[in-house]
Order: sequence, then C-alpha cells, then structure tokens
Amino acid sequence: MRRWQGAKSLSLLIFLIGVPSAHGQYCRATISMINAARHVIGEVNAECPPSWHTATWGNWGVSSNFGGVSDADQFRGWKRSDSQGHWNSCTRDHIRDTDLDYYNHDHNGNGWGDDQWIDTAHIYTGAQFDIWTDCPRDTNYDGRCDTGGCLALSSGFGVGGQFLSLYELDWPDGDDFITTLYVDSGCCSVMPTCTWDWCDEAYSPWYPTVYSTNTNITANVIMKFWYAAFVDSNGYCEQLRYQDPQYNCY
Amino acid sequence: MSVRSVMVTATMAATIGVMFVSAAELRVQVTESGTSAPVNAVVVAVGAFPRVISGLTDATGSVVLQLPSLERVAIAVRTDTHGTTCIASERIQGNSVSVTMTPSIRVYGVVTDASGAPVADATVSTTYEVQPECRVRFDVGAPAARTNQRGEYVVRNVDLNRNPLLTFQHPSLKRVTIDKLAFSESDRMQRRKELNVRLDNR
Repeated sequence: MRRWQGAKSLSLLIFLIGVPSAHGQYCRATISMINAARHVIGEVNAECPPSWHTATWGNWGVSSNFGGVSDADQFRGWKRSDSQGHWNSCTRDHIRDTDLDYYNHDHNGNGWGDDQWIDTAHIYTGAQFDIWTDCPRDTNYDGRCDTGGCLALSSGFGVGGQFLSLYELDWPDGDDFITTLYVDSGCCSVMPTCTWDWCDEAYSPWYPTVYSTNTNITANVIMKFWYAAFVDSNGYCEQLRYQDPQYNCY
Repeated sequence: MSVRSVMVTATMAATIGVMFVSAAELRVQVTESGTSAPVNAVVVAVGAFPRVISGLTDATGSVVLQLPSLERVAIAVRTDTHGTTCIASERIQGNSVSVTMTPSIRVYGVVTDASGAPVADATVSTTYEVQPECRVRFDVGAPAARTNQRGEYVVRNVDLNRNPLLTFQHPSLKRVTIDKLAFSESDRMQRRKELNVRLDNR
C-alpha cells in the first residue's frame, strides 16, 4: 500500500512538472490524400495551339496543403497517353456533343460526349506528423496502459482547409494553371483504433469539392490514415517504467 | 492618473495581451531571403494536434491562423517556388513568427539508356536530409515523377539549401543518384537546371 502511494506521489510530481511530454516521445502518423470522381465540366484553355507544346492533351498535377506538383497521376485524366491519364486541355477547339474523342461523358444525356469524367481513386499527396504525447501510463493499475502514447489519437485526428490547385504540366517550362478546388469544410477526420503504441488504418468519409476558382471542375476527396506508431526517441518513457509502476504498463 | 494606476493599467494590458495570445491567433510572415520580398501563396500547416490547420499567405506574405492553443504547435511551410521549411515552436514570438525562404529550382532533362535511347517510365524522386525540428513533413508517400515516352522529366521545387538527392530509377537499368555537387550557383540564380541522365544496363 505504501509503495502504491509512493508511486502515486511520483506520478503527481511528474504530472506537475510536466516532464513526460517533453522528452521526445511522440506518435508518428502518416496520411495520404486521395481524389476520385474527377469531373471537368467547364472550359479549359491551357493547352491550345498555336504553341510549341503538345496540343490538346495534358497531364495534370496537384499542388495542395501537403505537397507539390509532380508528373504522376495526381489528378488522373481519362485519356490514356504515355502511361498516364490525360485530359483534353483545350476544350475551346473541340465542339461538344459531337463525338467521344475529346469528351468521354454524356453530361446532358443526349447520347453525345459533352464533358470529361473519370472515377478512379489516386493519391495526390501525403504527409507525416509527429504528434507530441505523454508517456503511456496505467492510471487504474490494471496492468494495461490506458492513456498516453498513441492512445491520444483514439479521440480523433483531422486536417482542415483542404485545397487542390490544378496545373497542366509542361516540359521543360512553367506549368499552366487550371483552377483551384476547395474541399468541403468537413474534410477530413478519422477516429482510428489505437493502442498505446499503434493506430490502425482508417479512412475519413468522402467529401466533395465545393468551389472552383476558374472553371467548373469537381472531384471527391478522402483522407487515408495509414497508421501511427509510438516513438520514444530519447528512451525517457522506458526510464520511467523503472521509476513508477504506472508507467510500467507495456 | 498616478504612476501606480498607470502601472496597474499596463500590467492589466499586458495580462490581457497574454490572454489574447493564449486565445491562439498565430500570424506567420514569409519573406524571400536576399530580397526580403513577401512570398505569396505559401502553405502554412500548423500541427495543433490532433488537428492540422493550414492556410495560404496573401500578397503581403502573411497569414493569420486561428488555433486552439499556441502550446505544442508544429509549424511547417511550403510553396511551389521556395521549397519547404520547418519552424520550431520556440521561434514563435508573442503570437507571430517570421520565416525566410530561398527560391527553389526546376530540374529537367532527358533520361536515356546506354545506347542513347530515351527511357520511358523511369521514376525520378527527390529526398532531403531529415530536419530534426520538422514535425510536419510534406510530400510523404506522394507518387514519384515519371519520364514520358521521350524520356523527358521535370522535377519541380528542388530546394538546394536542403542537400537534395535526386534518384533516377528504372526496373531494368542501374539506378543513378545525383547530389548537390551537380548544381552550381548559376543554376541557383537561374532557378533551373538541365540535367540529362544516362542509366546503364544492370
């Protein structure tokens, strides 16, 4: 009993001086942002001849909250070219409602192509966060850590204010700005299942883009929370385990 | 008004000031090193965990973010033209922090094989030394750039201040890594570099 009270006193002291959270322990979370249901409805005049650039078809990149533009499938188009999916990037020169060469989707329902659409999901960026946390601790002395570590993320993790700026990519010179899409303000949070040392994969709901600055383009966005792992970079929590039974819970 | 009442008022004002700061409004000002010009459209991402809050700087290079608290925040900034910088929370003074950024460069060229033929679908990735103060890291797990059918590639926003490593890979060819020694002051000034790369057979 005396030992238990002593442990409680030490825990109180540690709590008061705030030491456990200041010694390099954190929960490292990795996320990806994914778009799908990409729909190009409005005019796009980014790749119109006369120009020395390759006319009409273009690969689009995304600059966003967590990453920059890359020649990858960040905003994959529907027309397969090279190994990537391209968009008709000069709709000015291609009359709608005539054929399916330049528009692959029948938005008006009249049997002809009049806009561009593709539904596949693609990662456009990702990020990693080191989230300060307290050392894992057993507050009710049942031998299991019930607070601290990655358990802090059990109540949720989220990112806000998401946007995607789209560019038609050129080689070797500067890229052509298409538009900036703003995602629904609810985007994006998850409630991962966590233990003191690990959080499992989780997905937010899909959110639509709600505003496009330059032309009518829409998409849906989701956050994939890959995992989170506890890191005790200075070994401080490990030391605490030998000093206080409350911290000796793993 | 007596000296004492002035002191009391000043103390109250300072207290209110502190209280205001603790309401967690954070102003971030970004300027370009050398020119001191404001840098527009910088993404400022603040880890006010468990939430990450972000905003964009305006034409004056500043942005104000509303945070739950200024304690234990992690700040990272990125642009498409000036790379990425992390800011230790100790650098926050009052409710603001200033950041200087150096222009990044655009690296482009053609990847060929030993015969001189263009290599399509080679990946080009850029990695940097780890910054210990970085608690928010961008572009993690993002898809790597690839060469097109003509072997052409572009890598945007290469930050020469952070010792970049450019890695060119193709499944059937030997990997090539390019480090900072390949870049000159002239490249930095011109903000672009043509870099043609040959991948030999395995």
